[in-house]
Amino acid sequence: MTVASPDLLVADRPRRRFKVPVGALVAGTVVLVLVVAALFPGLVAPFDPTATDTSSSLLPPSAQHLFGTDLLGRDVFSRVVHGARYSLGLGLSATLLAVTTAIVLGLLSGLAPRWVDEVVMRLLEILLAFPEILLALIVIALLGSGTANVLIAITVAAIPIYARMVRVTTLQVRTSGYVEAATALGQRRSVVVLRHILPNVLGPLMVLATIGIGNAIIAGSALSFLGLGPVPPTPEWGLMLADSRDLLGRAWWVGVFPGLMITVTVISTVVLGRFIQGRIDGSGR
Amino acid sequence: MTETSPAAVVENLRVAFDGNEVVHGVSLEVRPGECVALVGESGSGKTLTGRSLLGLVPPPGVVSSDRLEIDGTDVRDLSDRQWRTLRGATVGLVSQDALVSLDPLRTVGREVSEALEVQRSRTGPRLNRAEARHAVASELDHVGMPDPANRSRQYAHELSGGLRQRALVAAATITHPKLLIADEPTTALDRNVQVQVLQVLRELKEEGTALLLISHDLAVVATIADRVVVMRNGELVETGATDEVLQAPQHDYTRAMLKALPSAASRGRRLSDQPVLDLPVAEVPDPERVLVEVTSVTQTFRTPDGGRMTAVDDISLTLQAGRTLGVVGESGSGKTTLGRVVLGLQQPDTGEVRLDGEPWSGVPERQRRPRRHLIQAVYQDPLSSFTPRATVIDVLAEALALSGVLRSARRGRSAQLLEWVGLSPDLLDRRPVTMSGGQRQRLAIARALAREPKVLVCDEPVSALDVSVQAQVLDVFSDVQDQLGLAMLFISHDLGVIQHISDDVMVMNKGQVVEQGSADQVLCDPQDPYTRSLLEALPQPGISPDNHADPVPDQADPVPDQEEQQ
Repeated sequence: MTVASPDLLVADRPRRRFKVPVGALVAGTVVLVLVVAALFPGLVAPFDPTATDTSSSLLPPSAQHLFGTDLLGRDVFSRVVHGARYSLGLGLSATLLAVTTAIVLGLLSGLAPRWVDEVVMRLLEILLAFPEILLALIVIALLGSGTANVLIAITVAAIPIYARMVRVTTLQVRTSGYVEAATALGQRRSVVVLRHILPNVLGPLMVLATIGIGNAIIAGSALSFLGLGPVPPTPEWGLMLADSRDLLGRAWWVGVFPGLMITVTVISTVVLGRFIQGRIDGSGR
Repeated sequence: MTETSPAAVVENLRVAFDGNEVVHGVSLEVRPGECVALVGESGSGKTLTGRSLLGLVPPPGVVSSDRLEIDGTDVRDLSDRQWRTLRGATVGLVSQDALVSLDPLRTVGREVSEALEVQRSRTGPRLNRAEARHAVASELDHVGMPDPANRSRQYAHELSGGLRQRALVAAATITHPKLLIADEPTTALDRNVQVQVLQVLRELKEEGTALLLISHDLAVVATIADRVVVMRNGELVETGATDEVLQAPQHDYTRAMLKALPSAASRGRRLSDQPVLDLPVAEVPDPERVLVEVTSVTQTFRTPDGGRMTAVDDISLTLQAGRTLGVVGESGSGKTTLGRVVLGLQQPDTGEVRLDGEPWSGVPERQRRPRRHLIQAVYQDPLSSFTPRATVIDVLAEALALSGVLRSARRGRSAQLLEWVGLSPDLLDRRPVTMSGGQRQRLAIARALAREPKVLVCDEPVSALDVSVQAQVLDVFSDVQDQLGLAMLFISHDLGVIQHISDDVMVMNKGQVVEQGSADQVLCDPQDPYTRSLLEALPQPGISPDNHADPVPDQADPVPDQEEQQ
């Protein structure tokens, strides 16, 4: 992996007075490398991820092919690097979409008349009753497979938890001293919501979302693994994992490296999210 | 009694944290049957001094002294184990908040008997249950707990504040310590209850307990202490017999502190030394013009058990330009709800509020909004009324924007507003979290003034402040009202503050008005028994800081409050 010489990247991060725990530092570095890989895969990957070469089929890891090659002779390392775009992209955009929808639903629920709240919350509770992945499968079943539909499916599955979070914080913030003070000042309702309620709802939500990205990545990979997402020869990690099923006995590297990437990515985002959460909670107002 | 050996001797006590000395050489002595009061504002080191006598200075605090003795024992180099044998048996502690200090999962009786069990486990035969129960009941009875046998089976949250505090006193006294340290024992209590708890402490003192009372409240001190030790910034400022210190203080600080005490005697006089604020004379409303008219307002709330609780019961009042209506009552009397109704933040069930002649309650918020600038609010906890992470300029600019001040002019106007309330414009980019309590409250007042109101509703605006800061903020209110001719609704549980600032007074109890009228009429000649009990509960220290002020305000001319200064 390219994490071998992270010194330069770490030095680029802004210097801070407090001590950053090693775990968070490593996680941050991994995420940074992944982001680079997702944005500029050409910089990191030595080969075309889709170029087949039957003469070099299933070569074990070597200096030339760091992670070896797959059945069609494609460089696994290059495919893994290019795959970061799909997994991270899917995880990030699904989370972003889910958070945005959740803000609208949560604020609506927390601020609108009681009956609106009741209706929205009952609907969300029904959704919450299903495991996330099952919910995503239901959406796929309704919409059909494909990358875009996987994105929608993961988004829908993630909305309920975020929306509940927004609603609860909204209810707290709504009765806070500063919201009442703004009202007494004569501030318009819309401005009160945008300037006084929204920013204070956003903080805790962002932390939850950082951790949620990991979940979304897993869900995306799982759906791809089941063949419901991107189609071959796309270098998506879940898809690569699925392709490697029959080869594991002969060529472990074809499956292990994409799997490892999923694991490392998810752990890193969660560790980083928890670290940010701790920072926010610790610093108080 | 005078020749008995002292229960506690402290000589040249110093407490330091990480090399930073915060208590600088304090000396005092408490004799059996005597109450010594340690008085000072927050940060004066009074609590640390008390903690030193319990071996409870929190780490990494380092205590050093020339002498530190409890009942003749040198306690300077005691081990933790040795301290444990002293605490409870020889020296006891009564702390401020009984709800925090009592274990929520144990009955009051268990809590009280624990100290006794600990002592017995060291010194004698174990108590059997019946004995313990009997001892607890008799101690609870001793501190004035009604029906002690049943009360001791209740939990802390089931008791009222006064009863809880008594249980805490009982837990400290059941072992009959020689020395009792009471750290702000009555601060969280309503006046009436305060008096009862003080009575319990006084009786203990008369029975021979040495009492070290730590308090910021000079009025409380005056009623019980034999001697007073005044502390400031970790130093001993003045010490002497209570009467002497309170009647003829020698030190400037003590004098300033006494002068800062609001009371009936301080009306019309400035409490602090800060210069009179210079506010621009805007359009002052006609004096005595009725700005707010509240007619038979009733407000009820649903209770968790499905019933309804009447928070405000058929209350009428008027607020006139240039006059202050003080609303006084104990916690839960409905004062705050009344304030919210007047502010239009709460729609009354019945009755009507009119603002400047036009309907204020019962109209949609959309219709109220354009007139909200007329009536502004100042709250008890200013910090929570500012959006988290907002800076001072954010806070003021929002109000100015609503008043139609252009973006380019807002910074300049904000600086001006800060100066009006006696703050430096350097604070503009600070966050309120980093400011002191007094500064925050001034900022809250500045924000209210930014909207150019005619009415100010103040809900306990000085309750969280130290006496000297309270004095300054009260003077700000007086100046603001004087120069801008505002009508003020001033809500407070503190009768002294109400006596100081009000032209008219309304006494509330359980949602109802028990007495209403001009300040002189209500406070000097109360008709209602409840008002009388409140006034009697107010400790009368007989303080005369200027040595000439008479305790009864000038009866003839109560209205022009501040004329002397103008």
